[in-house]
Amino acid sequence: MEFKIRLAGVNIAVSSIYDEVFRLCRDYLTDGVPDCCISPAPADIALERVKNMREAETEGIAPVEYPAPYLETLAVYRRIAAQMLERDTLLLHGAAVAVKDRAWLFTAPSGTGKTTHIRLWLDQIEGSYVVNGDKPLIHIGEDVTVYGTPWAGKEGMQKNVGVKLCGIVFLERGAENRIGRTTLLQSLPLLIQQSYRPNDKSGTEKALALIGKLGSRVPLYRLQCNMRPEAAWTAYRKLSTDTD
Amino acid sequence: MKLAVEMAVMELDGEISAVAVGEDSAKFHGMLRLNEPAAAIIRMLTEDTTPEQIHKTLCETYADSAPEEIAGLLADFLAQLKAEGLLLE
Repeated sequence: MEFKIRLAGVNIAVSSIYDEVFRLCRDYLTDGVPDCCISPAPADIALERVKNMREAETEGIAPVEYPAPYLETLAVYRRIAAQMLERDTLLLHGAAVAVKDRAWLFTAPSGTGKTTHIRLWLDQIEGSYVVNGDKPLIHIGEDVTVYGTPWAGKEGMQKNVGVKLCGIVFLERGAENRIGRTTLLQSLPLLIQQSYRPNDKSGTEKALALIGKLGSRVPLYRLQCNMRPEAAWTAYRKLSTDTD
Repeated sequence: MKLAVEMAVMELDGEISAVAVGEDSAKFHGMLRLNEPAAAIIRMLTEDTTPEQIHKTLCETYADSAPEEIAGLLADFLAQLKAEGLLLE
């Protein structure tokens, strides 16, 4: 199936084996002239299957046998993420939430509570919305912009927008709610771990350089929080005040 | 000897770090924080070499330091890499 999508300001022609990618991308279709083409092969799907098995093994959980159409959606995004690096755009695992024209990205290892936290924002902070709940793209130029994408995790929380990124928040569980600034050097290991990095050395070095640029252009925070509504207010008060 | 994993090196605000590349990141999840001589050693270890060759190169680069001191630091660093499973001998 052939179609075109626009992600992070880039037009991409996709030629997929299954229809699932098209259904996933329906909010991002475009008629624009493609800047690049993505055409996953059966070998890419097989590679995603192996990666999923390995990840399950690493995390010590039972592997899930995902269907090929779903695995193809992962393969397509992996290829897109590789192309995006050439355009100073990085895929970062995290949940980006915005209020009006300002966005903040919450990142943490899976299972820490990113989704729970941004749900608190949606409940508590008037006008807040999710740019992408799992795998947004971030363009690092003069300004840093976070973009919605169709790849938005189990909950599918996403919006086809690009919003100025005003901070990256490293989220941890805590008994009390507390937020403060952190440094790039302190947060670098987690920032690297949460970023997409290609399989080759030059691609990895490009990603690392972009991560460094991102961390030096956007304020970084460490948030310890619980699951109570005050957690959203603790974060929002600090983040919005710093951005004013 | 050489590195057991392929590593990419980045420099940020004078701090040098190295992370494993691609599939090798499954073998080594962490990040090495390096000073300049350690980064030079990591770069040399991307290809098959010997402790003697590394020592010779370091002595040429850091001519102000005593060769014995360099040898001691080199031995310590290689031992650390070995303990992390990052060195193939």
